[in-house]
Amino acid sequence: MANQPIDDTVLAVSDFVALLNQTLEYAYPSVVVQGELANFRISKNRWVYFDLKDELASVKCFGTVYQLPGPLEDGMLLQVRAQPRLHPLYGFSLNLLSIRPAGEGAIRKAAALLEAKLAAEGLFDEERKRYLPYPPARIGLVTSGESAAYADFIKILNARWKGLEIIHVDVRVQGEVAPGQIVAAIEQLNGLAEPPDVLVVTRGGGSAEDLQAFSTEQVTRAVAASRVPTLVAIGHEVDVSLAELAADRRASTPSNAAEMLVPDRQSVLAGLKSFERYLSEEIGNILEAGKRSRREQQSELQQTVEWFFDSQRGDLSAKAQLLEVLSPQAVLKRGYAIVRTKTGTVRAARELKIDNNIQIIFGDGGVNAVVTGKRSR
Amino acid sequence: MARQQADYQKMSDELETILTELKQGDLGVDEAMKKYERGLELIAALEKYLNDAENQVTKLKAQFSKEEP
Repeated sequence: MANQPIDDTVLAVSDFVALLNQTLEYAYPSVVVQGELANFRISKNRWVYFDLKDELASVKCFGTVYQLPGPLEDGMLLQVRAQPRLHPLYGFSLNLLSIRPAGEGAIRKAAALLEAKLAAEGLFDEERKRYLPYPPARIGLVTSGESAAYADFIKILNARWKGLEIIHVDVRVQGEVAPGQIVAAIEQLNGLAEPPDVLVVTRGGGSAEDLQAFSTEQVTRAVAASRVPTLVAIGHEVDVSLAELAADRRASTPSNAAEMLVPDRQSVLAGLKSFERYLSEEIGNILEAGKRSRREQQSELQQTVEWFFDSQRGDLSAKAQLLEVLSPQAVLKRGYAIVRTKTGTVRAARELKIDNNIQIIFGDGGVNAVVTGKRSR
Repeated sequence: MARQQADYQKMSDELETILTELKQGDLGVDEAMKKYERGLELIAALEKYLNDAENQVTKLKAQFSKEEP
Protein backbone atom coordinates (compact mmCIF):
# COMPACT_ATOMS: atom_id res chain seq x y z
CA MET A 1 0.00 0.00 0.00
CA ALA A 2 2.89 2.31 0.79
CA ASN A 3 4.27 1.59 -2.65
CA GLN A 4 1.05 2.36 -4.40
CA PRO A 5 1.54 5.34 -6.73
CA ILE A 6 -0.74 8.11 -5.61
CA ASP A 7 0.68 11.15 -7.40
CA ASP A 8 -1.81 11.18 -10.25
CA THR A 9 -4.75 9.67 -8.53
CA VAL A 10 -7.47 12.06 -7.52
CA LEU A 11 -8.90 11.13 -4.17
CA ALA A 12 -12.13 12.11 -2.57
CA VAL A 13 -11.52 13.69 0.85
CA SER A 14 -13.03 10.75 2.71
CA ASP A 15 -10.97 8.35 0.60
CA PHE A 16 -7.86 10.34 1.47
CA VAL A 17 -8.71 10.15 5.16
CA ALA A 18 -9.32 6.42 4.89
CA LEU A 19 -6.06 5.93 3.00
CA LEU A 20 -4.09 7.95 5.50
CA ASN A 21 -5.61 6.05 8.39
CA GLN A 22 -4.73 2.75 6.73
CA THR A 23 -1.21 3.96 6.32
CA LEU A 24 -0.99 5.13 9.91
CA GLU A 25 -2.40 1.87 11.17
CA TYR A 26 0.18 -0.03 9.16
CA ALA A 27 3.09 2.15 10.17
CA TYR A 28 2.07 2.78 13.79
CA PRO A 29 -0.29 0.17 15.18
CA SER A 30 0.27 2.05 18.43
CA VAL A 31 2.66 4.63 19.76
CA VAL A 32 3.69 5.62 23.25
CA VAL A 33 3.93 9.34 23.71
CA GLN A 34 4.90 11.24 26.81
CA GLY A 35 4.01 14.83 27.44
CA GLU A 36 2.38 17.37 29.66
CA LEU A 37 -1.37 17.34 30.02
CA ALA A 38 -3.30 20.42 28.91
CA ASN A 39 -6.92 21.36 28.23
CA PHE A 40 -8.21 18.27 29.96
CA ARG A 41 -11.97 17.90 29.72
CA ILE A 42 -14.58 15.19 29.97
CA SER A 43 -17.68 15.27 27.80
CA LYS A 44 -21.00 13.63 28.64
CA ASN A 45 -19.29 11.69 31.43
CA ARG A 46 -17.88 9.43 28.80
CA TRP A 47 -15.44 11.06 26.39
CA VAL A 48 -12.07 12.41 27.36
CA TYR A 49 -10.27 15.10 25.44
CA PHE A 50 -6.91 16.66 26.16
CA ASP A 51 -3.74 17.89 24.59
CA LEU A 52 -0.37 16.36 25.17
CA LYS A 53 2.40 18.87 24.73
CA ASP A 54 6.01 19.73 25.25
CA GLU A 55 7.91 22.97 24.59
CA LEU A 56 7.64 22.63 20.83
CA ALA A 57 4.57 20.64 19.96
CA SER A 58 1.06 19.72 20.98
CA VAL A 59 -1.20 16.86 19.85
CA LYS A 60 -4.87 16.25 20.55
CA CYS A 61 -5.80 13.09 22.39
CA PHE A 62 -9.16 11.36 22.53
CA GLY A 63 -10.35 8.50 24.69
CA THR A 64 -12.98 7.28 27.15
CA VAL A 65 -13.22 7.79 30.88
CA TYR A 66 -12.67 4.04 31.36
CA GLN A 67 -9.06 4.55 30.31
CA LEU A 68 -8.34 7.17 32.95
CA PRO A 69 -6.01 5.96 35.72
CA GLY A 70 -7.85 8.34 38.06
CA PRO A 71 -8.50 12.05 38.21
CA LEU A 72 -6.04 14.11 36.19
CA GLU A 73 -5.03 17.71 36.29
CA ASP A 74 -3.51 19.98 33.69
CA GLY A 75 0.25 20.17 34.00
CA MET A 76 0.73 16.50 34.91
CA LEU A 77 3.25 14.49 32.95
CA LEU A 78 1.46 11.62 31.16
CA GLN A 79 2.52 8.65 29.15
CA VAL A 80 -0.14 7.46 26.74
CA ARG A 81 -0.36 4.50 24.44
CA ALA A 82 -2.46 5.46 21.46
CA GLN A 83 -3.30 4.92 17.82
CA PRO A 84 -2.64 7.97 15.63
CA ARG A 85 -5.77 8.73 13.62
CA LEU A 86 -7.13 11.36 11.29
CA HIS A 87 -10.74 12.02 12.11
CA PRO A 88 -12.89 12.77 9.04
CA LEU A 89 -14.23 15.94 10.64
CA TYR A 90 -12.11 16.94 13.61
CA GLY A 91 -8.64 16.33 12.32
CA PHE A 92 -5.67 14.53 13.76
CA SER A 93 -5.71 12.94 17.20
CA LEU A 94 -4.17 10.22 19.25
CA ASN A 95 -6.90 7.68 20.03
CA LEU A 96 -6.00 6.58 23.52
CA LEU A 97 -5.47 2.96 24.51
CA SER A 98 -4.09 3.66 27.96
CA ILE A 99 -3.04 6.59 30.08
CA ARG A 100 -0.71 6.68 32.99
CA PRO A 101 1.03 9.39 34.91
CA ALA A 102 4.76 9.52 34.25
CA GLY A 103 7.52 10.61 36.59
CA GLU A 104 7.45 10.79 40.38
CA GLY A 105 5.78 14.18 40.51
CA ALA A 106 2.89 13.28 38.23
CA ILE A 107 2.45 9.88 39.85
CA ARG A 108 2.21 11.44 43.29
CA LYS A 109 -0.09 14.13 42.07
CA ALA A 110 -2.33 11.61 40.32
CA ALA A 111 -2.36 9.35 43.36
CA ALA A 112 -3.25 12.28 45.62
CA LEU A 113 -6.13 13.29 43.39
CA LEU A 114 -7.40 9.72 43.13
CA GLU A 115 -7.00 9.17 46.83
CA ALA A 116 -9.11 12.24 47.58
CA LYS A 117 -11.78 11.08 45.18
CA LEU A 118 -11.96 7.50 46.45
CA ALA A 119 -11.75 8.63 50.06
CA ALA A 120 -14.75 10.87 49.44
CA GLU A 121 -16.58 7.80 48.15
CA GLY A 122 -15.76 5.99 51.38
CA LEU A 123 -13.58 3.27 49.86
CA PHE A 124 -10.99 3.63 52.62
CA ASP A 125 -13.40 3.90 55.55
CA GLU A 126 -12.45 2.00 58.67
CA GLU A 127 -15.94 0.59 59.08
CA ARG A 128 -15.62 -1.19 55.76
CA LYS A 129 -12.70 -3.24 57.08
CA ARG A 130 -13.39 -6.89 57.70
CA TYR A 131 -11.53 -9.37 59.86
CA LEU A 132 -9.37 -11.90 58.11
CA PRO A 133 -9.95 -15.53 59.11
CA TYR A 134 -7.07 -16.64 61.32
CA PRO A 135 -5.61 -18.90 60.12
CA PRO A 136 -7.30 -19.13 56.74
CA ALA A 137 -7.51 -22.53 55.03
CA ARG A 138 -7.44 -21.33 51.45
CA ILE A 139 -5.48 -18.32 50.30
CA GLY A 140 -5.97 -16.62 46.95
CA LEU A 141 -2.65 -15.13 45.89
CA VAL A 142 -2.31 -12.45 43.25
CA THR A 143 1.31 -11.72 42.39
CA SER A 144 3.99 -12.45 39.84
CA GLY A 145 5.07 -16.08 40.03
CA GLU A 146 8.65 -15.23 39.24
CA SER A 147 8.98 -12.49 41.84
CA ALA A 148 10.88 -12.49 45.09
CA ALA A 149 7.58 -11.44 46.63
CA TYR A 150 6.05 -14.78 45.66
CA ALA A 151 9.04 -16.75 46.92
CA ASP A 152 9.18 -14.85 50.23
CA PHE A 153 5.48 -15.15 50.85
CA ILE A 154 5.42 -18.91 50.23
CA LYS A 155 8.61 -19.46 52.21
CA ILE A 156 7.28 -17.72 55.31
CA LEU A 157 3.91 -19.44 55.01
CA ASN A 158 5.58 -22.84 54.78
CA ALA A 159 7.74 -22.10 57.78
CA ARG A 160 4.84 -20.96 59.92
CA TRP A 161 1.81 -23.03 59.11
CA LYS A 162 0.67 -26.29 57.57
CA GLY A 163 -2.19 -27.63 55.55
CA LEU A 164 -2.81 -24.44 53.63
CA GLU A 165 -4.13 -24.35 50.12
CA ILE A 166 -2.74 -21.48 48.08
CA ILE A 167 -4.46 -20.61 44.84
CA HIS A 168 -2.08 -18.52 42.82
CA VAL A 169 -2.94 -16.36 39.84
CA ASP A 170 0.21 -15.27 38.07
CA VAL A 171 -0.02 -11.61 37.03
CA ARG A 172 2.26 -8.88 35.85
CA VAL A 173 2.74 -6.47 38.73
CA GLN A 174 4.11 -3.58 36.76
CA GLY A 175 3.74 -2.11 33.34
CA GLU A 176 0.74 -1.27 31.31
CA VAL A 177 -1.03 -4.64 31.48
CA ALA A 178 -0.57 -4.99 35.23
CA PRO A 179 -3.73 -3.20 36.41
CA GLY A 180 -5.98 -5.13 34.04
CA GLN A 181 -4.43 -8.46 35.00
CA ILE A 182 -4.57 -7.74 38.71
CA VAL A 183 -8.23 -6.75 38.47
CA ALA A 184 -9.03 -9.85 36.40
CA ALA A 185 -7.23 -12.07 38.93
CA ILE A 186 -9.11 -10.54 41.88
CA GLU A 187 -12.39 -11.04 40.08
CA GLN A 188 -11.48 -14.55 39.02
CA LEU A 189 -10.67 -15.61 42.58
CA ASN A 190 -13.87 -14.00 43.83
CA GLY A 191 -15.82 -15.85 41.19
CA LEU A 192 -14.57 -19.33 42.06
CA ALA A 193 -17.26 -21.85 42.98
CA GLU A 194 -15.39 -22.16 46.26
CA PRO A 195 -13.70 -18.79 46.75
CA PRO A 196 -10.62 -18.61 48.99
CA ASP A 197 -10.95 -17.46 52.61
CA VAL A 198 -8.65 -14.55 52.05
CA LEU A 199 -7.14 -12.76 49.08
CA VAL A 200 -3.54 -11.61 49.14
CA VAL A 201 -2.31 -9.08 46.60
CA THR A 202 1.39 -8.47 46.91
CA ARG A 203 4.61 -7.40 45.28
CA GLY A 204 8.03 -6.31 46.48
CA GLY A 205 9.31 -2.79 46.65
CA GLY A 206 10.17 -0.62 43.70
CA SER A 207 10.04 2.89 42.42
CA ALA A 208 6.82 4.87 42.53
CA GLU A 209 6.51 4.10 38.87
CA ASP A 210 6.93 0.34 39.41
CA LEU A 211 4.22 0.36 42.03
CA GLN A 212 1.81 2.44 40.04
CA ALA A 213 -0.53 -0.39 39.17
CA PHE A 214 -1.51 -0.68 42.85
CA SER A 215 -2.60 2.92 42.99
CA THR A 216 -4.74 2.83 39.89
CA GLU A 217 -8.43 3.39 40.24
CA GLN A 218 -9.36 0.04 38.72
CA VAL A 219 -7.14 -2.02 41.04
CA THR A 220 -8.15 0.02 44.07
CA ARG A 221 -11.83 -0.45 43.24
CA ALA A 222 -11.36 -4.17 42.58
CA VAL A 223 -9.74 -4.58 46.01
CA ALA A 224 -12.51 -2.59 47.67
CA ALA A 225 -15.17 -4.60 45.84
CA SER A 226 -13.72 -8.02 46.69
CA ARG A 227 -16.23 -10.17 48.54
CA VAL A 228 -13.33 -12.19 49.87
CA PRO A 229 -11.48 -10.28 52.63
CA THR A 230 -8.27 -8.76 51.33
CA LEU A 231 -4.71 -8.35 52.53
CA VAL A 232 -2.59 -6.12 50.33
CA ALA A 233 1.14 -5.86 50.84
CA ILE A 234 3.08 -3.70 48.45
CA GLY A 235 6.64 -3.65 49.64
CA HIS A 236 7.42 -0.05 49.90
CA GLU A 237 8.12 1.57 53.21
CA VAL A 238 7.45 5.19 52.37
CA ASP A 239 4.26 5.36 50.37
CA VAL A 240 1.13 3.38 50.87
CA SER A 241 -0.59 2.37 47.66
CA LEU A 242 -4.29 3.09 47.28
CA ALA A 243 -5.00 -0.62 46.94
CA GLU A 244 -3.53 -1.03 50.42
CA LEU A 245 -5.78 1.70 51.76
CA ALA A 246 -8.78 -0.06 50.24
CA ALA A 247 -7.77 -3.48 51.58
CA ASP A 248 -9.20 -4.94 54.76
CA ARG A 249 -5.65 -5.20 56.04
CA ARG A 250 -2.28 -4.17 54.79
CA ALA A 251 1.17 -5.52 55.45
CA SER A 252 4.49 -3.83 54.81
CA THR A 253 6.13 -6.62 52.79
CA PRO A 254 5.19 -9.99 51.29
CA SER A 255 6.88 -11.75 54.23
CA ASN A 256 5.03 -9.56 56.67
CA ALA A 257 1.78 -10.52 54.90
CA ALA A 258 2.52 -14.21 55.48
CA GLU A 259 3.31 -13.52 59.14
CA MET A 260 0.06 -11.66 59.58
CA LEU A 261 -1.97 -14.35 57.90
CA VAL A 262 -1.08 -17.42 59.94
CA PRO A 263 0.22 -18.12 63.44
CA ASP A 264 3.68 -19.54 64.00
CA ARG A 265 3.19 -23.25 64.50
CA GLN A 266 6.15 -23.46 66.90
CA SER A 267 4.40 -21.21 69.36
CA VAL A 268 1.12 -23.05 68.78
CA LEU A 269 2.91 -26.34 69.48
CA ALA A 270 4.30 -24.84 72.68
CA GLY A 271 0.77 -23.71 73.50
CA LEU A 272 -0.51 -27.25 72.97
CA LYS A 273 2.12 -28.55 75.40
CA SER A 274 0.94 -26.15 78.05
CA PHE A 275 -2.66 -27.09 77.24
CA GLU A 276 -1.68 -30.65 77.88
CA ARG A 277 -0.14 -29.78 81.24
CA TYR A 278 -3.16 -27.75 82.14
CA LEU A 279 -5.47 -30.57 81.11
CA SER A 280 -3.55 -33.03 83.28
CA GLU A 281 -3.60 -30.69 86.25
CA GLU A 282 -7.27 -30.09 85.80
CA ILE A 283 -8.12 -33.79 85.60
CA GLY A 284 -5.84 -34.39 88.58
CA ASN A 285 -7.80 -31.87 90.59
CA ILE A 286 -11.08 -33.36 89.52
CA LEU A 287 -9.99 -36.90 90.36
CA GLU A 288 -8.65 -35.73 93.73
CA ALA A 289 -11.90 -33.96 94.45
CA GLY A 290 -13.75 -37.03 93.29
CA LYS A 291 -11.73 -39.31 95.53
CA ARG A 292 -12.22 -37.01 98.48
CA SER A 293 -15.91 -36.82 97.92
CA ARG A 294 -16.11 -40.56 97.39
CA ARG A 295 -14.34 -41.07 100.71
CA GLU A 296 -16.75 -38.62 102.24
CA GLN A 297 -19.69 -40.30 100.61
CA GLN A 298 -18.49 -43.67 101.77
CA SER A 299 -18.03 -42.66 105.35
CA GLU A 300 -21.32 -40.85 105.26
CA LEU A 301 -22.98 -43.95 103.91
CA GLN A 302 -21.33 -46.06 106.56
CA GLN A 303 -22.48 -43.74 109.28
CA THR A 304 -25.98 -43.86 107.95
CA VAL A 305 -25.95 -47.60 107.83
CA GLU A 306 -24.52 -47.86 111.27
CA TRP A 307 -27.00 -45.41 112.62
CA PHE A 308 -29.75 -47.31 110.91
CA PHE A 309 -28.63 -50.57 112.36
CA ASP A 310 -27.99 -49.00 115.74
CA SER A 311 -31.44 -47.57 115.76
CA GLN A 312 -32.83 -50.82 114.49
CA ARG A 313 -30.90 -52.70 117.13
CA GLY A 314 -32.06 -50.37 119.85
CA ASP A 315 -35.56 -50.64 118.65
CA LEU A 316 -35.37 -54.37 118.44
CA SER A 317 -33.98 -54.86 121.90
CA ALA A 318 -36.63 -52.56 123.26
CA LYS A 319 -39.26 -54.58 121.55
CA ALA A 320 -37.61 -57.78 122.61
CA GLN A 321 -37.59 -56.55 126.17
CA LEU A 322 -41.18 -55.56 125.96
CA LEU A 323 -41.98 -58.93 124.48
CA GLU A 324 -40.05 -60.53 127.23
CA VAL A 325 -41.84 -58.51 129.86
CA LEU A 326 -45.16 -59.27 128.31
CA SER A 327 -44.40 -62.94 127.90
CA PRO A 328 -46.34 -65.11 130.38
CA GLN A 329 -43.26 -67.21 130.69
CA ALA A 330 -41.50 -64.27 132.25
CA VAL A 331 -44.27 -63.83 134.74
CA LEU A 332 -44.09 -67.47 135.65
CA LYS A 333 -40.36 -67.09 136.17
CA ARG A 334 -41.08 -64.47 138.77
CA GLY A 335 -42.97 -67.12 140.78
CA TYR A 336 -46.46 -66.77 139.46
CA ALA A 337 -48.38 -69.80 138.14
CA ILE A 338 -51.18 -70.33 135.71
CA VAL A 339 -54.15 -72.46 136.58
CA ARG A 340 -55.90 -74.14 133.74
CA THR A 341 -58.82 -76.56 133.43
CA LYS A 342 -59.91 -78.40 130.34
CA THR A 343 -61.92 -75.40 129.29
CA GLY A 344 -59.11 -72.88 129.61
CA THR A 345 -57.23 -70.59 131.90
CA VAL A 346 -58.82 -70.05 135.27
CA ARG A 347 -58.97 -66.37 136.09
CA ALA A 348 -61.00 -66.53 139.33
CA ALA A 349 -61.48 -68.89 142.32
CA ARG A 350 -65.21 -68.94 141.80
CA GLU A 351 -64.70 -70.71 138.45
CA LEU A 352 -63.59 -73.79 140.36
CA LYS A 353 -65.42 -76.26 142.50
CA ILE A 354 -64.28 -78.94 144.98
CA ASP A 355 -62.92 -82.04 143.20
CA ASN A 356 -62.27 -80.16 139.93
CA ASN A 357 -59.16 -81.42 138.21
CA ILE A 358 -56.78 -78.59 137.47
CA GLN A 359 -53.40 -78.09 135.93
CA ILE A 360 -50.96 -75.70 137.54
CA ILE A 361 -48.28 -74.35 135.20
CA PHE A 362 -45.05 -73.00 136.68
CA GLY A 363 -42.08 -71.47 134.92
CA ASP A 364 -40.31 -74.79 134.75
CA GLY A 365 -43.22 -77.11 134.12
CA GLY A 366 -46.64 -78.10 135.35
CA VAL A 367 -48.45 -80.31 137.87
CA ASN A 368 -51.90 -81.83 137.95
CA ALA A 369 -53.97 -81.22 141.11
CA VAL A 370 -57.47 -81.56 142.57
CA VAL A 371 -59.37 -78.78 144.32
CA THR A 372 -59.81 -79.94 147.92
CA GLY A 373 -61.25 -76.82 149.49
CA LYS A 374 -62.22 -73.20 148.79
CA ARG A 375 -61.59 -69.95 150.69
CA SER A 376 -62.73 -66.52 150.16
CA ARG A 377 -60.06 -63.78 150.16
CA MET B 1 -5.88 -29.52 52.40
CA ALA B 2 -8.66 -27.12 53.13
CA ARG B 3 -10.54 -29.90 54.75
CA GLN B 4 -7.54 -30.68 56.96
CA GLN B 5 -7.40 -27.06 57.99
CA ALA B 6 -11.11 -27.04 58.69
CA ASP B 7 -10.62 -30.15 60.82
CA TYR B 8 -7.80 -28.39 62.61
CA GLN B 9 -10.09 -25.52 63.43
CA LYS B 10 -12.81 -27.86 64.62
CA MET B 11 -10.44 -29.84 66.81
CA SER B 12 -8.95 -26.66 68.19
CA ASP B 13 -12.42 -25.38 69.08
CA GLU B 14 -13.35 -28.69 70.69
CA LEU B 15 -10.20 -28.64 72.80
CA GLU B 16 -11.04 -25.14 73.93
CA THR B 17 -14.52 -26.30 74.96
CA ILE B 18 -13.13 -29.24 76.88
CA LEU B 19 -10.73 -27.01 78.79
CA THR B 20 -13.55 -24.68 79.70
CA GLU B 21 -15.77 -27.55 80.83
CA LEU B 22 -13.04 -29.04 82.96
CA LYS B 23 -12.27 -25.66 84.45
CA GLN B 24 -15.89 -25.14 85.48
CA GLY B 25 -15.56 -28.39 87.39
CA ASP B 26 -19.20 -29.43 87.47
CA LEU B 27 -18.56 -32.62 85.55
CA GLY B 28 -18.78 -36.01 87.20
CA VAL B 29 -15.51 -37.89 87.53
CA ASP B 30 -16.37 -40.34 84.77
CA GLU B 31 -17.43 -37.58 82.44
CA ALA B 32 -14.32 -35.54 83.28
CA MET B 33 -12.13 -38.55 82.64
CA LYS B 34 -13.70 -39.01 79.21
CA LYS B 35 -13.19 -35.35 78.39
CA TYR B 36 -9.61 -35.53 79.53
CA GLU B 37 -8.88 -38.50 77.29
CA ARG B 38 -10.57 -36.76 74.37
CA GLY B 39 -8.48 -33.66 75.12
CA LEU B 40 -5.26 -35.68 74.93
CA GLU B 41 -6.41 -37.21 71.65
CA LEU B 42 -7.13 -33.77 70.25
CA ILE B 43 -3.76 -32.42 71.32
CA ALA B 44 -2.00 -35.36 69.68
CA ALA B 45 -3.99 -34.86 66.48
CA LEU B 46 -3.29 -31.11 66.44
CA GLU B 47 0.42 -31.72 66.98
CA LYS B 48 0.42 -34.27 64.20
CA TYR B 49 -1.26 -31.75 61.92
CA LEU B 50 1.25 -29.03 62.75
CA ASN B 51 4.14 -31.39 62.11
CA ASP B 52 2.97 -33.45 59.17
CA ALA B 53 0.52 -31.47 57.04
CA GLU B 54 1.77 -29.91 53.81
CA ASN B 55 0.99 -26.65 52.08
CA GLN B 56 -0.18 -26.95 48.55
CA VAL B 57 0.05 -24.34 45.82
CA THR B 58 -2.40 -24.53 42.94
CA LYS B 59 -1.72 -22.42 39.88
CA LEU B 60 -4.95 -21.00 38.59
CA LYS B 61 -4.93 -20.42 34.87
CA ALA B 62 -5.46 -16.71 34.47
CA GLN B 63 -8.60 -15.72 32.64
CA PHE B 64 -7.14 -12.64 31.00
CA SER B 65 -5.40 -12.49 27.64
CA LYS B 66 -1.69 -12.14 28.19
CA GLU B 67 -1.19 -9.39 25.69
CA GLU B 68 2.22 -7.87 25.86
CA PRO B 69 2.50 -4.10 25.78
